Order: sequence, then C-alpha cells, then structure tokens
Amino acid sequence: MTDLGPPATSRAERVGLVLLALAVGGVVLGSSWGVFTPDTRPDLYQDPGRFLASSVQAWVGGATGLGQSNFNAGAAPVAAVVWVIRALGASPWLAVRIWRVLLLVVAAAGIRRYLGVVFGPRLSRPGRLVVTAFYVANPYVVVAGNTTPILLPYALLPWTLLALVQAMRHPRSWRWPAAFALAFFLQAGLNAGVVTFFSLLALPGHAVYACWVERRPWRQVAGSVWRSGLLALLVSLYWLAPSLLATGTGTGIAEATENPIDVARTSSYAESGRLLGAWPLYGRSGDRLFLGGYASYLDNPFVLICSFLVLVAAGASLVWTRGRERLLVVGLLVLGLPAMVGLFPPDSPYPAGRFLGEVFDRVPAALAFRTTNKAGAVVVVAYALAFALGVRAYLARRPGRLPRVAGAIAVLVVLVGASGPMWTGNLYPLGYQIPERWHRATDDLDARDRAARVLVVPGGTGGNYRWGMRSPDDLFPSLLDRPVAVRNTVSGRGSEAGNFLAGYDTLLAQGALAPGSLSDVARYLGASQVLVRNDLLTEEIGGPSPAAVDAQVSVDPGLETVRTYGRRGTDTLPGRSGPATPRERADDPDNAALAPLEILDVADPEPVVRSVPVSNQVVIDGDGEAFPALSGEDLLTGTPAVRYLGSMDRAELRAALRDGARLVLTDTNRRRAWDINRVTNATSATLGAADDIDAGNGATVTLWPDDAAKQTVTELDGAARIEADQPAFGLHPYGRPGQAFDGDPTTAWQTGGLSTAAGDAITLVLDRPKVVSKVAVTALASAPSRVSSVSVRLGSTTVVQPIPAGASGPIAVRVPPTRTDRVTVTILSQTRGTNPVGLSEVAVDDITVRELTRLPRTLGRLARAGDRATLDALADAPLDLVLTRARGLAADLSDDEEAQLDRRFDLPQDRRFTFTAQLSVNGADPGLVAGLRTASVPADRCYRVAALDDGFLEARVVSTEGELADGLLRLEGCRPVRLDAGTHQLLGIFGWRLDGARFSSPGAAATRSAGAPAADRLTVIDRSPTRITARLASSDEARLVRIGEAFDPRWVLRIDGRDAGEPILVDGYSAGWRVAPGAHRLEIEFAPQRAVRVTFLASAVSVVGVVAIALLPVPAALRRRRGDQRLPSEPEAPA
Amino acid sequence: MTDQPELLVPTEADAAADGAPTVDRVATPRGVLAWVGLVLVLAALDGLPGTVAALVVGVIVLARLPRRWIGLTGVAALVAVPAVVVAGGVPTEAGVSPAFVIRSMWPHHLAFVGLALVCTAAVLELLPSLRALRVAAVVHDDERDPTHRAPFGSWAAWLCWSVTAVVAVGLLVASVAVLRA
Repeated sequence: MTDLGPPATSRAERVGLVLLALAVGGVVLGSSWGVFTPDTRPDLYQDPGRFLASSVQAWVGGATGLGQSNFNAGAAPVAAVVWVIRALGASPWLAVRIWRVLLLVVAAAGIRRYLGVVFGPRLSRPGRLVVTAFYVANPYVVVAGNTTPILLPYALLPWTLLALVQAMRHPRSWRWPAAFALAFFLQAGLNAGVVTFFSLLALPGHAVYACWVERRPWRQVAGSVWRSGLLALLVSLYWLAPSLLATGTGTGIAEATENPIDVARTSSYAESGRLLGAWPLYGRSGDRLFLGGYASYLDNPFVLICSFLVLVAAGASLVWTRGRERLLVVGLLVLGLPAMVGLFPPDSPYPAGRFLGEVFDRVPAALAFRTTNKAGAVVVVAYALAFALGVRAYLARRPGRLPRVAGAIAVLVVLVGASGPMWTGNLYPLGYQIPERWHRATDDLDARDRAARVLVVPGGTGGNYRWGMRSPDDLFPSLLDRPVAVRNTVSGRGSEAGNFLAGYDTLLAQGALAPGSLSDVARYLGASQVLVRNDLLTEEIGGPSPAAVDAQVSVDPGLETVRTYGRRGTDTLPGRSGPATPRERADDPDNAALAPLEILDVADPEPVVRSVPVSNQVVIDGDGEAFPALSGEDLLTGTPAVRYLGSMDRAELRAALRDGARLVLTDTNRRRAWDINRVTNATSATLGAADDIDAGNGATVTLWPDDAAKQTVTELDGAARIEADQPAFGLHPYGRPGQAFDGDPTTAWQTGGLSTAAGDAITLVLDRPKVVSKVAVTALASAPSRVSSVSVRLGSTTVVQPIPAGASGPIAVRVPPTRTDRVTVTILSQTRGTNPVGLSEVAVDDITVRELTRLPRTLGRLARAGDRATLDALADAPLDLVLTRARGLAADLSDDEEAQLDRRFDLPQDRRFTFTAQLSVNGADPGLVAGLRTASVPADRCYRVAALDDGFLEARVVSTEGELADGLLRLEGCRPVRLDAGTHQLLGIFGWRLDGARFSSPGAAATRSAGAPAADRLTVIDRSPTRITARLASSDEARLVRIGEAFDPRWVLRIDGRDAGEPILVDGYSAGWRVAPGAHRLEIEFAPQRAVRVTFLASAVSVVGVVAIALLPVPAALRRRRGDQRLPSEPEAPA
Repeated sequence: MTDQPELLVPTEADAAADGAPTVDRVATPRGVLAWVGLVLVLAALDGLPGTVAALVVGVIVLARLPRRWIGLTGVAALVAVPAVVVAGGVPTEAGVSPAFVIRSMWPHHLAFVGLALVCTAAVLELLPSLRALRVAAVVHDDERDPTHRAPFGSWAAWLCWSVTAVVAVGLLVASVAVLRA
C-alpha cells in the first residue's frame, strides 16, 4: 500500500528545526531578560489564581469602574495554564516567556501537521521547514502577536483547520469534529472571542476547496462543518454566554476606546498585505511611539523591504506554481485580506468599507470586531500554503547546488528581515519592573481592612507610570486583594459609576476640590484608605502634578497620613523618572519633596455595603460632579444617602419627599462630549440641548445622554445658534464659540492648536434675516501665534480682512449692507506658533449674544403632574440651589469655560431663600478688594452682586481676614430672596464674577431629618463578587440599602426570600433598594451568574465528552453493532 | 524531499502539445457572468483601481493573450509596492505616523490590484482542471494516509484514559468553584 502521508522528517530538517527552536526560543526567553513584559492584562501573570477565579464570574468587581459585567470569561483556560506555570516556580516575567514559547511551539507543530494534511506526499521537506520558520517569525507574529488574545488563536488556528479538513474527509466521523471543537475550545474566547471568530473566516475557503478540488459532496462537507460547529458551540458556551450577557459593557468600552475610523487609518492593502497595518504601530503620544520597538518596520529600509517581499513572494508563488492548493490560498485570501483592511480608506471608503461602517454603526455588538487587523492569522495561513507551493515548485525544477544555497540564503535573509525586531532586542516594546514600594504599599493596604475599598488618586487613562509601566490595565488587580476605586477615562456611555468617579477626579485634576470633598467621596465609595500615587505619568494626560494633588489631599480634614513609600523625589517629578538629582530638587522642590506613594486613613469611613434610614437622604438634580459641590456646602455631613432626581419617577419622588428627603438643584450633569486621552479640559463646553453629545473620541459620561431635559445645557439669548468647527486636536471646554459674540473682550473663541486654525470657521445664525451693515473683528491676543487674516461672509458676499501684527482693538471689516441670517468668519491664516488662537470679539451691528446655562428641568417635569400630596410634600421639603461656575484649572485664569455665573432655572413652587456666594478676589473690583483688606469700606455694606430676573441680588462681604488673605470673598445675601414658581434668570455683573452661589430654603419640615442616624446596622454575613448575604437589624424606619457595586439593573435582592424588584440608583453609582421597616435577611445576587453557572457546567460536560470522543477507543459492543471494520478505533455517526 | 509529483494543472502549452482542442468560444454566458461578478467584487473592494484590474482580466481573456499575463501583471504590481513606498521616503523614527500609510494611495491600490490579479490568474488557470475533476470519477483513498486517521491515534490507551480523567477531574473541580462563586 502506498503511503499518502507527508514525507517523514529528515535529519537535515531536524537540524533546521533545532536551530530554529534555539533561535526563536532564545529570543523569546532572552530578550529584555528579567523584565516583566505582559502581553495582556498584567494580573494574568502576577496573580493567575485570582484572574482565573474572576474570569468565571459574571461580575468583575475591583478596579474597573466599580465593577462591571465580565466579557472575558474565555480567559479561563489561559489563566489555568499560566497558574500551572507559576505554580511550578516561574516568576511573572518568566511565566510570560514560557507561555509565549509554548504558544510558538504549538503554532509550529500545528502548521507542520496542517501542511502535511493539505499537501500529503506533495509537501516538500524544505517547504515545510521554510513555512515553519515563517509561521513563527513574521511581521504578524511580531506586532499583532505581541498580545496573547491574538497569539493564542493564531497558534491554534492550524490545529483547528487540520481537524476541519479531516472532518470533511471523514464525513461519518465524530472524532475529527471533536478534535476541531477541542482546538476551538483551546483558542479560548479571550476578549469576547473576537480573534477566534475572525479565524472562522478560514472555513469557507476550506469548504470550497474540499468540494471543488477534493470533489467531496457539498452535503458531506456541510455535515462535517455542522458537527464541528455544534461541538465547538457546546464547549464554548462558558464564554459565549457571559460575552452575550456583557454586550452592553463590551459595547460601552468599544465605543469609548478604539474608533473604527482610527483603526482603519493604517490598514491599507499594502500594510495588511505585509501582515502589518495595526494602528498602534504608527501611533504616538507626543514624542513616544506606542510601539517604538517595532519602528524598524517603518524607518528601516531593509526591514521595510523584506516585509514587503513577503507579500511579493506570496503573489509570485500563486503565479509560478501549478498546484491545485492555490485555490485554497485564494479562498483564504479573498476573505482574510479584505477583512483585515476593513474600512480603509476611512475618510472615503469603497462600497465594501461603507457597508462595514454601516454594520458597525447599526449593530452595537459588531463594534467588537472593529480592529479588523485581527483577521491576519487567516492571511498568514494563506501565505504559508503559498510558500509551501513556491518552495515545492522551485525544487521541482531541480536547481543545482548553488541556486539551492542561494535560494536558502535569500529565504533566510527575507525571513530575518521581515521579523527584524525579533533579532534586534525589540521583541517586547513594553516592559517594566514593578517597584518594591508598590508591593509594600499594597501589602500594607491588604493587611488593614480587607472588606473596605481603597480610593486611589489621581485617576488616569490606565496604568501609565513614570517608572515604565504603560498599559490600559492598571496594577491593582495584580497587587491588591481589596476592591479599588480609581477613575479611568474609559467608561461606558452615560455610565453612573464612570460619571461618579469623573466628578471628583476632574476637580482634583483641576486643583479645584474643596477641602473635605475627597474624604466625603471616599465614604460614599466605602473606602477606608486613600492611596495617593505620585508616580503616575500625569504629564502626558493633562493630569495634575503630584504637588497639586498633595495640596488638596493634605488640607482635607477627613484624611490622615498613615505612611509614605519610596524615596522622596523618586518618580515624582513630571517629565522624568527615577530619583531626582539635586539640581532637579532645587528646580522643582514641591514635587521633589513628595514620596511616590502615600496612604491616608479616612476618618469615619462607611462600609461598602450599607443601609441608611430613608429620612437621611438627599435628592440631587445633577450628577457625580454635585458631590464635591455639596461637600463644599456641608450638605453631605453625616454621609446621607444620595439619590438622583433624574433616576426617579413621580412615585419615587413622592416617597422620598414623604420620607423627609432634602432636595438640591444643581448645575451639574452638564451636557458634554468627552475625550478619553486627557483627564482635564477633555470635554466640550456645555452643549445646547440639540448639540451632538457624542462628538468626542470617547463615550460621554453625562448621565441620561439622550434626555437633555435631565441635563444642564446651554441656551442662547440674542441669536438662533452659533456654529463652529470642532478643534482639530481634541475637545476643550474653554474658548467656547459664544464668547466671540458676548461683547466681553476678555473672553474669546479659541481653536486651532498646533497650527491648525486655518480654515476653522465660526457662524452666527440669527433668529431671522436682517440687514447687516457693520462687522468688526478682534483677534485674541495670543502668542506667539495669532490670527493674521480672516474672511467674513454675509450671504453671498465674502470679504477678506488681514489683521496686522500688533493690532489689539477691533478691526472694522468693510462689508456692504446685506440682508442675511448668517455671518460666518473663517480664519484664513495665523502667525507661526503652536498655541491655540482665536477671536475675542466679532461685533455684528449691535447684536449681543449671551449664553446661559440652564439647569435640568427634571423637578419641574415631575412636579407638573404631581398630585396634591406630592406638592405638599415638596413644599415642606428643604430645597437648595447650588451653582458653580465652570472654571477649568484653578491655577489658570485663561481656561475658564464660563466668564460669569449666568444661570436659568425653574422652580415648581413659590419659595423664600437665603443667598450665599463666593468668588475669588481676581473676579472682584480691585478697588473694593483693597478697601476690604485695609478695612476702609464698611463691613456690613450691601453690594449689588448679580442680576436676578428684573432686579438685583444684594449681598455683603463676610470674609474673614484669613480668607481675604487667601484671596476668597464670601458673600451673604442682605435679605431673603423670594422666588415665584416659574423660570428665573441669574446673570453675573461686572466686578462680581461669582465662582459659586447657593440659594437655600429650609422648607416647612426643615428639622425633620436633623439628628437622624447616618447609617443603620447592616451586617454582611457572606459575600462573593456576585452574591451578598446580609442581615439588617430591626428598625421602625424604612432604609435605603446600597451594595457598593456599580449600578446594573440585573442585580436582584430577595428580602426574606421575596424578590424586592428592580434596583434603584443610590449614592450616585451603586445598585440599591428601599427596604421596609423591620429586621430582614437580604440576599443579593447578580442574576446573570446563574446563566454563567449553567453554561459553564454545560461546557465542562461537553469538554469532557469531546475529549472522550477524540481520545478514547470505541467500546467493542458499539463497534460490533455498527459493523465498522475499516477503522477499529473510529466511532461513526448514525448513517 | 519527497519524490511525489506535484499536483499540476495542465497549461495551455501542455494542452496544445497534447493535441487537445483549443477553446473557440471566449465569451460564454457563464464566463461573462463570472467576469461581471469579478468587476462588481473588485469595484466594491477598491473602487476604480479594482474595476481596472477586472478590465485587465477581461481584455487579456477577450484578446486571447496568454492568461499568464494576468498573473505576471499582478506580480509586477506587487513588486511595485515596496518600490513606491521607498520612493515616497522612509521616515525617521520622529516622523513615524499614520501619514506613512495615507500619504499616498498608490501602495494600497497596487497591492490590491496585484493580489486581485494573481488570485484571478490562479483561479483561471485552475478552472480547466477543476472541470476535468468534476467529470472524472474521484476515488478518495484517505485511509491510506496515516495523517488521516483518528486524532491521537498514536497515543497509548493508558495515556488517552489518563488525559480524559485529568480533564474530567479538573473540570469537576472548576465547576464546583463556579457553583460556589
């Protein structure tokens, strides 16, 4: 009988394989020796046991947004293997290397077996050796494969395809479908199985090849695919179900991170064809390339050409060979390459790209597949087949020794060049060693109070530290057992937890957090300690300097320093790493005086899971930004339960008012678009109700993003609207377009950082057409760059107006009187410089436009249809109006979003208020300030400090000497203010730029909640990430129970065994419930965990079954019954 | 190296040498339909350059030029890709940015056209042999191939049982842990 198998491995081939293994294994193990180079989340290697445990839970608590649904259950098999590697004694950095070597060995063995199955005896040994080397050392493995979620499916793809080919060749077999399922199972569903799904693009090519070339009946092929798919589905249920259940979370993250347009900006056919095209390779942050180690693919001509020769060689192999396997190559390429290319060119895609874009837009879950480069493994397999053909054809021409040697050298040179970074010590572009101080600090934190959270400040864009770590995933899951609260700019659209964390952290980053706010926030988060990380790389993300954070943390009366870690000045100086030199200490003493890490205790901390009597609750019309504002007004004393008016219906409001809740209306929950690359000034200005809230490169954290009535929005007086081009280099709240038309020369519309202003336009749209005859333009006095010419368009008339250097006042533009409703000013040029430029005034006839900030209309909407009892309760309730001017960085007077505290708000009922306010001395009349400081003006004199409706607000200055010395003016209204039901307008006036104001009305039941206990007795009996069992002590009063995990409607509570209904939003971020008086047993569970349990069990049983089918001999009785004589060990499906 | 012959496709020259009849009709309805499909697909993927690639295929087939020219044209386009990229300038590390890709669409179009042509050439060249296979009675003799036998067929029975047992116990432990979560 002739053997139809591939040629056996010869001695020469074996030598080649050994050399290849030594070279690749040596490089993988030896590059950056001793440096931790995680290829996915660092905690997979640092703490694989906990990673494994968390991967099979439907809810992941801890560091990520105060908890979220788990869409990464597929990581469990990987975690299990890494756990074994670590258990055998490997340190984290070595575990990474061993894991990657294992994957490459699996990949190499797989591609060899796969080629043997496809080619059989037509496979040449040299071809097999070349392909083996190519499969483990090519541009795709080096760049895209530097992460486990891509490298693992890549390594197992040949095995999966091998089993598929065999399954199609043995249509009655269940063994090969079982092998397919096993390989698919081992590919794992990392990151919702995106790469695994991409690898399925290889299936149609194989099916067509089986039908057309191997002449297998379609029905037979379809049957084999069906069996393989069924078993693969069964063994993958454990990650498929959680991924589907976490679609919302995954989609939120997908929307907030990589934009399909940006992903596609580099995925051309040329780049994808040479197995590159992944956008991080071409991206940079400032001077730093994201993947600097791989830059040789772009800046080294030799590496660049060699990588393109891979593409050329694949094409040439298709032309110069004659094997029928070319059909398989074509079948893989026609799906794999267009998938890899995706939307390119993103700005004007071709029909296929447009279609894909539509899919991304209309099917939220499809966004998970936006990184189309992940389809590259299919293309690599196609190239591997082509190269096997090419080498075979080359050898078939029986070249002499010299051409053979020359060919081998050429192949070697191209392979080495195409995988250049591997051989130049750049295989791992990102590596670091976690400083010992971090281990000590986190160990100490774990030793203190394991049930309580740790609040980490400042927030950031992930784990980016001056000592080298750069990762979207932070350190805490690796080092800390305790749950952590830390703000990450990546957050789901309208996420309550993301909003809460951004609320205080943005103010902290701006240097505007009032004393006591951080400790108040810590209590709401259930944090008993605050960890200040002064070694965070904040300078790249517009974050605060360590000294700026310390200045706010150190004056918080609710925080007490416990211990610092690390040498002062080490990694604390912005712009540099390591210990500070004496000169640097002298240049930057404030930052150099700080330790890299500091732990502070929170005074009177609250537990994570807590209950509060309903009488001790505050209902806020606003969002997380209100917490620091209310803290500054002492409205959060005693840590009352907080509810958002926007999350309540009429019945809930009525119940809360009857319970004795205090109502606070705020100008928070501003309608804004958000960027994710910075932590300060990373939003649009407060938008109008109809403006696009999704215009940023990240998901907005504004709550109820699609309901403008629940948001603080901008309204315009004096014009219909103002349109302006979006800044080319990210959003910023200051320099808003309306400030060009507000008649205030100290404010300006700003745009065009990095010399991109030319072409940016601003348009004033009038309420109705009118004759415009005068336009004057005043350029912002920016330096070094400023606007040097503009064009003004009225109707069809356009006038170009140069702006001479040094011109400081308005420049009249000679425009003919024109009837129009639009005046557009376009910046035509700017002088040299990278700073933003702009126009401080565009005077159009006598038109003055004023932007007012309108508070949410939620209360009015709920009260309008309220019954008598609700309105009575509303009249009795204490009501406060807390207003804060949006100021940007506290230390920067030029980035104020709002020049005045101009507000519009509604009141449902008549009320009498007291008035207080504060402002900086910089915003007051200097003469008055000087008089106050020298006591030369009467202390009790009343001043007109703001316009209110048709009158003025009068107040006296009540600052102490110390406050005056610190630059703070505090005001108290001279008399109570009566405001009728309806809309009111507060306008700032010259000389009194108020920073904050409060109108306070005690209501008829002002003292009802006074003295109520802050918290109630709730004892947690047992808890896991998805389940909490607690006992609530007896009480005569109903209570609000919060679990301290991010709000998700799928949390369920059973009170004494009875379902308590849907959760409500409590304390701004947490799921919670209103629990009736009495003693109760509470059982709280994240409902999807049940599905996770069921699917995990189903998968486990399926895996065991599949392994048994694939491995174990068929029982003799079954064999006899089927009469199978051909393959004694082969089980057959029923005919 | 094996001495097994390569699975070859007869070329036009081979067919002529064998005295096989040459194809008289160039534009069969099915061929026209396939070409229209090719035009649509290539145009959908790369617009005008894709359409041009499909036109090149049509011209070469209709003009009865050697079909190998399709593939050669494709290879020439692929060879031109690195040449055009290098001619556009190799950036320094400070100059690396997405502009490297989007500064010129030529490499993109050349790569697409090149790959489209070589793939089309390969399929066109394979068509006669695929047709021949369709009419021929194909006998599969997979059982003679040792690689075609059952997976893990070379493993000893004790090893198969052991692996199965380890997997079963491991998943049992994991299932208990999940149920307790």
